[in-house]
Amino acid sequence: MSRTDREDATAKALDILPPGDEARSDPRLLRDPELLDEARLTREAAADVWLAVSPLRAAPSDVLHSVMARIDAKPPAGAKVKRFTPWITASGWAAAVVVAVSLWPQSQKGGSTKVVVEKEVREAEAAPEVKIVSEGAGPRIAEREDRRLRSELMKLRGSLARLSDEAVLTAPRVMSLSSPGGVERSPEEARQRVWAVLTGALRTALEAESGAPNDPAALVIERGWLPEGVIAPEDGGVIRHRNFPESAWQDYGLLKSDEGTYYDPERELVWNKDEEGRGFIGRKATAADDLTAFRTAEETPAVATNQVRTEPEGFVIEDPVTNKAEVVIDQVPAPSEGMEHHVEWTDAAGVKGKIKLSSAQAAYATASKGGIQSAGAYAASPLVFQSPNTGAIQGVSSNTIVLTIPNSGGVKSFQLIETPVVPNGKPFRVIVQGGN
Amino acid sequence: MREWRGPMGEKVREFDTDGRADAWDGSWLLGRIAKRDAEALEELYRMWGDRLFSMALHWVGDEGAAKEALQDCFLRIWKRAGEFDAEKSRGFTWCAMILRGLCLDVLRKKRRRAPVWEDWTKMPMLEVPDRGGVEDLFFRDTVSRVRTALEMLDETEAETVRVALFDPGTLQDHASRWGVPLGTAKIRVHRAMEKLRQLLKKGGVGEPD
Repeated sequence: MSRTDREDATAKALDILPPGDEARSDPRLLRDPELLDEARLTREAAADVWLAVSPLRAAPSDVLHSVMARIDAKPPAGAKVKRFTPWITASGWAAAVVVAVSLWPQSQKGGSTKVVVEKEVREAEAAPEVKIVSEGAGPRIAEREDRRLRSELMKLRGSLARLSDEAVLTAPRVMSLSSPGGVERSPEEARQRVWAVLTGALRTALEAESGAPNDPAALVIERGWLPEGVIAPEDGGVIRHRNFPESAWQDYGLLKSDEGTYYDPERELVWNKDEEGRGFIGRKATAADDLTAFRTAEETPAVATNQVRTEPEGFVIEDPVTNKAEVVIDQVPAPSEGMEHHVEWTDAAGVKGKIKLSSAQAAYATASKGGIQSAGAYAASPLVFQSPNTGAIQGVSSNTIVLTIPNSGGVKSFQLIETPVVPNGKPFRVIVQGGN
Repeated sequence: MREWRGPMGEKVREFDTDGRADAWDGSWLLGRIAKRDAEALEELYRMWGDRLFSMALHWVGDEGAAKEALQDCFLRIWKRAGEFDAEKSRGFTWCAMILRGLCLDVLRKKRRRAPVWEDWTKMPMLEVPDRGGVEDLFFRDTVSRVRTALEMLDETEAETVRVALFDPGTLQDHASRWGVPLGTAKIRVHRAMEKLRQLLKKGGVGEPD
């Protein structure tokens, strides 16, 4: 393989060979393994750079509808809520989550794998030693997981089995964070929740960044219920509720149909699940709606629904390979007047780290180990956007904190606290905490 | 993989991620798409649609054209998923290259309408943008590696990479612009890309081999 061949392979991979260039039809560029490898590596580098230099924007949902229509597939079904769940990723957060999902300690009843931290020693580059004791065929996969998820988890489990003891050393450790006195999630709930929080955080951030230009909703509610005074939009307008309180519909005076739709008689709003799985869509009831199908809680048989958690909660996922701890905390309230938020942690060597979180339209912060850091930005305050078209207020209570602690050194304890901006002797308030 | 004894005598291993800690494997979904699983295509859109749309929009600079490119990209993925070979390419790279071809078509058509490409100065800059706090949680390692690698390129190399990746012109056009023969332009692009590749492989750290 000559250098000229490699240069041609690079140019061909980037599709910049001029018309008539002999290399365009050179069969060696299609057959020689080394030249093919040259082209592959060039394409990968090009894709990586292109990805990294492009500001993130949310993809328009109408393109998906158009694609599905063009391939003659049924458009995204309203009844099926399909969240973005790329379980088989191997990157950053995703890698941590994926492995955590499989190695998450199971409940005593169904558990078949124990994750045992034998010794947590952290100095310089030393990785923690974590041992997995297998007592069965592997992590239990819940029956209620849908088929696709089961398949993906099975595939993942196979991959982990192949990794043998390597997986032991690369497995991240997961610490759950909860509010003092808060109800802890079961491992099953927690492993589902951690992924939902992550994907939701990015999606919200992207939509906030994009100004959600393609969302037809005049009002977007992240959590909670409609503010006082909000009425049903006229002229076909809709309201989106991204975390519709299905478990507490009675508390809001709603009626429910057997199809899982809801009716708010006070505001004359009918709530249907969003076709794209982004919560519920509320619209003004019309004469075409059969309101007799909606019933009160007393008339509706009790059906177990997923609990909507409104307390702050979070996870610290530590990856021994990268020596990073990834932290995600959801449902974080905005700081009270005159107060500010800090995260604090202690590593295995007893070194304390601290970051002050500044309120901003952001969902990411980076810190470095040692001393007090102030490199944070997060979305604790509700973000409000004025729609340029409708003049209506779009509210996104994007209250998720996502941050990375490089060189984390084996986090032993972690907490998010609220302290006075000006020290006044009052004790700090713990929002969430956790510890190994 | 490195292996050593820790301070307490415990065995410690560190795995060489080859600068690709977050190489994404979408082969499973693409395999399902190859079998005409429309649901898998929808999942792929939900998973990578944001990134691919961002990339198209950044390059072509026109929302309508970017949406069209994104749509055509997923239609091609649908048609050609059977050609995807996980041994030869990462799934994301494969999809991105389909999108790249479509974006190139858009830009080259635009260019034909004018004797001189008027938007050359608007060509994307070769720098990782400040994302205002919004981070791509799933490709953060890639972003980090690229950021570091780009900082290691000298000005000429960076401009060469920028032109090679984002200028819709051919190498002949670049050679003319640079005032060098075509062969020299090929060498220049190859060397710059090779250095970039090596820096990315090393996680953007240190001098390339």
